[in-house]
Formats: sequence, structure tokens, C-alpha cells
Amino acid sequence: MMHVFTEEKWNDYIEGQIDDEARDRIEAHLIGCLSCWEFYERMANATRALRVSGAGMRAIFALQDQQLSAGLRGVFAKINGVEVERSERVARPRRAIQQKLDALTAVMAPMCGSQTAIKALRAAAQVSPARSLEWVTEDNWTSFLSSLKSIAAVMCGETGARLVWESGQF
Amino acid sequence: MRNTEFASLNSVFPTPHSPFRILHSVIVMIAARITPKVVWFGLALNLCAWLGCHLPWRAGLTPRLWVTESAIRTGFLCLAYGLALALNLEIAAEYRQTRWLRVAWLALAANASVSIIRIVVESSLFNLIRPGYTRSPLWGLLQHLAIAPANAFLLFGLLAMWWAYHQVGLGFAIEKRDYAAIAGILVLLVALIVFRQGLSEARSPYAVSRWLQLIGLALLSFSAAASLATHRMAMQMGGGKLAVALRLLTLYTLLRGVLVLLQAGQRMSLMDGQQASASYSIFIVLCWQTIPWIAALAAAYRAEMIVHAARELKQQRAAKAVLASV
Repeated sequence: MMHVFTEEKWNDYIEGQIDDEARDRIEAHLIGCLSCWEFYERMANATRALRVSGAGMRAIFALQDQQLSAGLRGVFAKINGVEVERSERVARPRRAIQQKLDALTAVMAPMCGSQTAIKALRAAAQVSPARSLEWVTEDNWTSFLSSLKSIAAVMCGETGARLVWESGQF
Repeated sequence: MRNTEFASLNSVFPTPHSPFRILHSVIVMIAARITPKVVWFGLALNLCAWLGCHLPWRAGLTPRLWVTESAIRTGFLCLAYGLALALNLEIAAEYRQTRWLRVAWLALAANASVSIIRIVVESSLFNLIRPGYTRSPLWGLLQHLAIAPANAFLLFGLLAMWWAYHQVGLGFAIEKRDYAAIAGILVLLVALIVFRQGLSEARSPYAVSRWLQLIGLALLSFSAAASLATHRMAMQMGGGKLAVALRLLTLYTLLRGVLVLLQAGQRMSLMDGQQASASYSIFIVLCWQTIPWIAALAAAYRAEMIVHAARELKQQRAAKAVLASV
């Protein structure tokens, strides 16, 4: 089919990477040989088509990389956002509770001492549904405060206990 | 503001038209004005007035003004215990739901009121009516008839207070050295009982007097032991007015014990007719005169907690009202 020319020579010719002498010889042969001309045409068309579709595919893959990168960036940003939001959502009430606990300690300390105040907060948390100072939340705050008021009634007197109760609700 | 807080005294005298109404009003009025500063001032005035009368005699500048000295002593000490009584009643009235603390402060009030009787019956002013009264066995008998119940009330008050604080379960604990100190106090009590010849009533013709003194000493020793427990609580509180009040109660109890011990030791060590040095005698008398003021100070510091809480409440409610109006 390829007559006197090797497949490599044909490929080089179609790719345009052949020396001038070999190109003249192939073209001289193509003028006189119909079957080689038809082969050449099919090969040239196929090569062109491959080149075009290859360029298209490269463009597509390059776009997908960018899209993928952008998408991944979005996903990570969202994950980070969710994490930050979640930690914020957890930390914000915790900070508020801690501020309230600090305020209660500050209220009790001048009356019954700082150590007593801290011990009273812990004891009140233990007997409340929170069970521990770390688990005191807005949901169980009232029962915690109620327990603290009972302890404060002994340690700070009943006026002091009323102050603790109202400070906790402030 | 303090008057409104002390309206809680109504719970001590529940019926508005009771015969105690006037007394109630007087107590509220007195309690409303007593701050620790006032008590410190009273103590300073008492000691200065007594020294002002006594020292010129010691220096040989004036004859002994024993009537004035005795009047100063009796008047000021009655005043000190009177203040302690009013404040203790005020504090007891605050505890409407905490039964043990209410009982504790009422017992301390009873201690103060019986102590007033003691100060009156041991006053040498009675020498004006009945010469030689303070050297008679009757003086010792009447004195110890008051001291024994006063000490019993003190012991009961301290134990009730310790029990109330202990029941809260905040982890206040007595340490080994406290047990050692309590053991030391009990050893001293046993020593005093063994060597009771050094006690003032050892030679009293009244057996009641001799026994009452021993009972009074035993009660005082137990009170001192109980006060060590409350003192340990005060140490573990990390400051605050309550800790100051508890420490002063410990001082009130221990100082009395130490003075009794010193006087017994002095009586045993001195030969018949021998006198203690002037400075030592003055020091002992000043200490005895300081003791009632310490009881008043303890109550004043505890009562100040009510004032502090009431003031904070008022400020907080005002702040709430402002926020609500915004």
C-alpha cells in the first residue's frame, strides 16, 4: 500500500517534518499513484481531525482544571466557613455563660470570699441538671441559678442570695 | 436603706402589736447605724476613757477614781454587748429559711444578752450599795451564774454555725493541725481542772460557784475548739466579710480562754499578798475590755454583708430600670 516509502517516511511527510529531497520524491510518486494519493488524503484528514479535536480536548481539560480548582476552593472555603460558624456558634454562648459566671463570682466574693464563690458555683452546677460547671448553658441556667441561690442563702445571707439571683438574671 | 433591710426583724417579733414592738423599733434603729467603724470607734473610746482615768492614778497624779473607772467599764461593756445583741438579732432575722444559721445567730444574741447581765452583776459599782461586794463569794456566784449559760449559748451558736456551713458541702475541711490545736485546748482544760486551786472560785463557800466555774471553763474550751473549726473555714474562704466575722468570733472565744488561763497561772504563781506588775495588770484589764467589742465587731462585719448586698441590689435594679426605659 505504501509502496516504496516506509510508514515513518509517510508520517514525517504528513507531519511536515521531512527533508526536501524525500518530500519531492513522495510528491512525484503521489502524482502518478492513485492508491497512495487516496491513502495520503485519508491520513492527512485524520491527522488534521486529531489535531483539531486534540486542541479542543486540551482546551476542555484546561477549563475543567480551573473549574475544579475554583470548585475545590469554594468547597474548602465552605468547609472552613461552616467550621468557623460552628465554633462561633458554640463559643459565643459559652463566652456569655462564662461572663455570667464571672459576674456571679464577683458578686459573691466580697461577701463570702473568692474561694467560697468558686466552690459555690461548682457545687450549684453539680446539683443542677448541668452536673458540671463546663456544661452550664442557657437551657439549664435557671436551675443552676436556683441551686446557687440556695447555697448563697447560707454563705451570703438571704439578701446576698437575692442579689445573686437577680445578678444571674440580669 | 438599711432601715428597710432591717424590716426583716419583723420575723423575730412577728406581731406588730406585740409588747416587744418598742424594743423592736429600738433594735432596728440601733442596728441601722452600727458599722464596723462605729464599733472600732467605740472600742478606742472605751480604752482611752479607761486609761485616761487609770493612768494618772498609776502615775501618782490623782487618787484612784475607781467609781469612774468602774462606770466606764460597766457602761462601755454593756454598750458593746448591747450593740452585739442588736446586730446578732438583725442577722438572725435575715435567715428566714436557713434554720441552723438563724439558730446560731440567735444563740450568739443570747450570749450577748446574758453577758450584759454578767457585766452588770460583776460591776464594782455595787460596792457603793453593798461595801465589799466584789470581794464577797456572792460576786463570784452571780458572775458564774451568768458566765455558764453565756458560754453554753456561745458553744451552741458556734456549733450550729459550723454545722450549717458544713451542710452546704463546699468542701471546708478541718486540718490535722486544727485537731492538734483542739487536743491542746482539751489538755489545757484537763490541766485547769486538775490544778483548779488556781481558779478564782476555788475557795468559794458555794459549791454551785465552784462547779459553775468548772462547767463554764469546759464550755469555753469546747467553744474555743469549735471556733478553731470555723476559723479554718474562714481561712479556706479566700477573703470576704464573712471570713472576717468568723475570725473575730474565733478571737472572741480564744482570747477569753487565754485570759482565764493567764489569770489562773498568775494566781498560782504569785505568793499571798504579792501583786502582778502594773503594766501586766493594765494589759489584762484592757484585753478583758476589748473582748465584748470583738463580739460586736464580728456581728458588725457580718451585718455589713446585708448592707452591701442591699446596696448592690438597689444599684442593679436602677440599672435594670434604665435599660428597660431605653
